[in-house]
Amino acid sequence: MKVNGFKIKPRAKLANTNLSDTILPSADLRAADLSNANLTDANLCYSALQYANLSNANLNGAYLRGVMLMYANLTNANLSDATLPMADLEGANLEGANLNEVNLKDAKLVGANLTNANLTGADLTRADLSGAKLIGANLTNALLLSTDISAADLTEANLSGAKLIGANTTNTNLSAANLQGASLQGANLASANLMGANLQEADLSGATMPDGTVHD
Amino acid sequence: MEVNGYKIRPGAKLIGADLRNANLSDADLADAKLSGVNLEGANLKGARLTDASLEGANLKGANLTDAYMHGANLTDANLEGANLFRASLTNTNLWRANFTAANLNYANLSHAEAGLANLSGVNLARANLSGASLYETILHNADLSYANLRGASLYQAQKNSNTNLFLAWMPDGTINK
Repeated sequence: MKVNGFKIKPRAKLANTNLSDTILPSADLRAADLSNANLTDANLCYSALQYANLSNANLNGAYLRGVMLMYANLTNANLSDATLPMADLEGANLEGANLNEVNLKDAKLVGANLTNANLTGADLTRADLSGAKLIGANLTNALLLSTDISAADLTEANLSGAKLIGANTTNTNLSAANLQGASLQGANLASANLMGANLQEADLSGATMPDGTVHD
Repeated sequence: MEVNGYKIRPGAKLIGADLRNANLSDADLADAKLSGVNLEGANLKGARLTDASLEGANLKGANLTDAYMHGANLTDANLEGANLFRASLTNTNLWRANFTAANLNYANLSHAEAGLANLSGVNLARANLSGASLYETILHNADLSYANLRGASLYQAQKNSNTNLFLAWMPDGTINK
């Protein structure tokens, strides 16, 4: 398969290419080099991109439903306004990536590295982020409804205004995290680490705190 | 596809866009962000709107015949007088949506969440509402004849003497006579 003169195949060398607005559903781009590529508004739904190099790639507004991105390199990639429901990003490296307003509903991000990523306004409803690294990540106003953040590391993450209703917070590290104005109604924080966390104006009604007490 | 300067594609971000009377028949808008969009009088016949967010959207008088809307969020949307003949609305969120005088004949609303929705004067004849939640839903003058309501929740649903449940398959599995 050829698109814009470029061969679409596993291990394809597509660094710095312009593939914006292309329609490539179910493309096989496993372990391809797409670093610095322009994939703005591209449609890559259900494509195979595991182990691909997408570092510094521009995926702004891209349609990536059900995409396979296991162990992909997405460091400093731009995924703002991208649509990735049901995507598999297990073990992917998203350090410093821009995920502003991204749709990651029902996505799998087990063990993914999201250190210093921008997830402002992101929709992570029912996503699996168990064991993920979110150190210093910006999750301002993000939706984490029924999201699994068990054993995830959110040290110094900014969760102000985030909604965590029904989230699984077993063994979640929230030390020095900013939870100002966050919604944590009914959360079970018994095994969570909240050392130095900012809980000002956070809604903790019915939540079980690390000391075992239940909040009013 | 481009309409009124807007890119029509899956996952498109069209929040608050003006698409009144636009021709979007068979358009693929799966997973699109369409909250607050104005689609009054638009032609969406056979369009794909799966998992799209249409919160507060204006779909007054729109043609949604055979539209495929599985999992879409239509909270607070206005669908007054819209034509949803044979449309698929399975697992949709229809919370507080206004369907006054809409046509839902043969539509599939299985497992839809229609709490507080206004379905007055709606044609729901032969519609599939199995497992749907109709909590406090207004059903005044609605035609639900031959509809499938098996396993649906009609808790505090508001019916009147003109609500037609002729031969409807009721939540408890009985046929209404």
